[in-house]
Amino acid sequence: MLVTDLPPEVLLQIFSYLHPRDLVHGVSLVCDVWNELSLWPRLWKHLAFNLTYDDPDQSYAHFAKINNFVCTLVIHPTHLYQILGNYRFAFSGIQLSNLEHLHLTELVSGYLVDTIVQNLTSIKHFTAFFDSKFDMQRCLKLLEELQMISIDFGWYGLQNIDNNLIQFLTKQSCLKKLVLRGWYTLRSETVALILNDYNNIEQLYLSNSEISNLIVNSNLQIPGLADFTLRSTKFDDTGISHLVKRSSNLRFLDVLECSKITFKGLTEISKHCPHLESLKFGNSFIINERLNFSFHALAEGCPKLKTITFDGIKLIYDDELVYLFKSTKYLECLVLSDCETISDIAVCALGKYCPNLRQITFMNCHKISADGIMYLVKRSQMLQILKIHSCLGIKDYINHSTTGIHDETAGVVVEDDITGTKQKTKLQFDSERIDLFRYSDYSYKHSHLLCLDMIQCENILPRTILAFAKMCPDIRKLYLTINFLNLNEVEALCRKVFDICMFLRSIKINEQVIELSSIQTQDESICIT
Amino acid sequence: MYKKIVPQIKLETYEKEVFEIDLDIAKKFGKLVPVLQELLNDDKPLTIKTINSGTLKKIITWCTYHKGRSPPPEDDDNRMKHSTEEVSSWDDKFLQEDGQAALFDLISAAHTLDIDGLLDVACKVVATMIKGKAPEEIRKVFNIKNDFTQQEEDQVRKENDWCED
Repeated sequence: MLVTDLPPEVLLQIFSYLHPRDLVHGVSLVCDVWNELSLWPRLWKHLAFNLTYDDPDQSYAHFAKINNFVCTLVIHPTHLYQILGNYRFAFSGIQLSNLEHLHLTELVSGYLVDTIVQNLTSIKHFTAFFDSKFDMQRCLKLLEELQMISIDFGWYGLQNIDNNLIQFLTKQSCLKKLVLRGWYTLRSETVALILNDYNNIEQLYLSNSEISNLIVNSNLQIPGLADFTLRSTKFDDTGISHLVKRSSNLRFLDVLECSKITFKGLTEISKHCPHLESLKFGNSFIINERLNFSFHALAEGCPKLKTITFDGIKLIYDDELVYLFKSTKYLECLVLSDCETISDIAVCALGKYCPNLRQITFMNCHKISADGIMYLVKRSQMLQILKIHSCLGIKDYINHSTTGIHDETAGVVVEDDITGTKQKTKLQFDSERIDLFRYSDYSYKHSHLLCLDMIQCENILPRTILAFAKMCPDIRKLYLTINFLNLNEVEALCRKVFDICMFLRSIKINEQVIELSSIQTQDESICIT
Repeated sequence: MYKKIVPQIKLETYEKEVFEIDLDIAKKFGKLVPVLQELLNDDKPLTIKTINSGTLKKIITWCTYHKGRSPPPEDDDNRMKHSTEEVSSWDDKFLQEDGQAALFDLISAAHTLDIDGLLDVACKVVATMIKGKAPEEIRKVFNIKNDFTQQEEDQVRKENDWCED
């Protein structure tokens, strides 16, 4: 069978995996049928493209053909202005009549919004950043004309326009998502008003660091609120406690930078948000006796968690995390940053209890060793992205198929007491720990990892890198930091890695990109052990 | 000894060869799902003339290998990435080892039987073959005849004259 014998719907599915560049410069020029298929509406529904034209007079012709299919457009403001504002094209058929999502990639200034409101009346989702001199008041006034579903605005002006914002919201009966980045002048009282009165809003994102507990000034229920992000250092346990009590349907909560929220707040979140799917929590500097309890509360209260980010929680004990991972079996994305006390036991528990993991980041977790990571990679068949930044415990590895480790001290010797405090991991059952390290009980095909990022893991040995490469033959991106090898040794290492990983085209080592093509097959004598 | 009986269905290929397929694999064939119960009770094989034995064998191997691994949800966001990255080395090798004709047979069969996961990954493999190539190269790789006149080709080239920053 030939490719031309395939039914058109299959060809379209193949084309749907291609970049517009390939459709325009490749597919459309192959033959008549392919040319026609390359203009199929579905292929142009989402267009993220930096449009520039060598000869605008001629080449808008193609854009004219597909412009009405575009539903999502990611574009540089200048290019949009060119398309919409240039008199030459006023009658050339550029209408973008089905455009619903507009995402402007750079700072907007001047009168672009006027043009947008006049020409693109079908937009419902608008993402843009505006410079500090931009007249936001006028912009909101203009946008009142349109019925928006989501607004994602970054604005860094200094005048207060809360009244205009409220007036704008009053006109928007369908608005579901309100993202206000920057917006330094936003007052807590205004936010309280939004929470109380505009019940259709499902997603609220506020990055103004001045926002305080005043945003929860009533006991009205906010059942609609599903996604809440706040980046404020003035919002504390009392605030979050009030908020979660009022919004029982919260599914996404990001209080990563609300450093005043302590474990008490975490316990409140756990108690009141049974539907929580994503939690970002961090920077908590208050450590108290209830710490242990709050992780248990989280494990019991929020079993649906898919995304967890913990940042800078200095003393999480392994057994608390093990307990948590046991109940969060849907976990897909995990970020542990500056959690210096966790060790391989938590990492292994992760591999054992969370089969759906797709993305993991460990940052500054010095007690984790290469053995734990290897176990995790082998167990997590869905894992695609693994980032291990500045984890100095990643050094050598032990071949477990022959030895196996039965206690945490075996394996690699990690510098003791990085935190300065003597802390002992205290798993409740010894048998459980042994079970975690037992390697014979899983069926291992091979890892499907696509991206392995190990920058600033300065102690890693070349043979550990090779072992990782052997485990993850599908890898497409590899980032490393290597300090103690000379240039030739690095090259020899890269050659070996390229041999193992067939999709790998380049490796980034110490910020330098080493291409497969640049590695020549000379100098085979250098051997790395 | 007690032997576990796995429920099976029977399919007959173009070459009139009959295959017995385990139920949990047959469940992945979207087209067959509504008639599975019937097929289980029926001893007569279902004939699918458009699929040859080699292709069906490959399909069964693929489904067996991927048993228990559900593909990531394919929503609009995923598609926006224009991503062909998720193809694993095993899939890549498996799909390409018998040459192009076999690959297109497989795609066609996956389409007929409605096996989403297989169709997706096979289409991605073909997309990878097209990626970054000039039209002449694409024609050569897939043995496609250029049915444009020089004039038409120039016209398309002119109209499609957009490029990236």
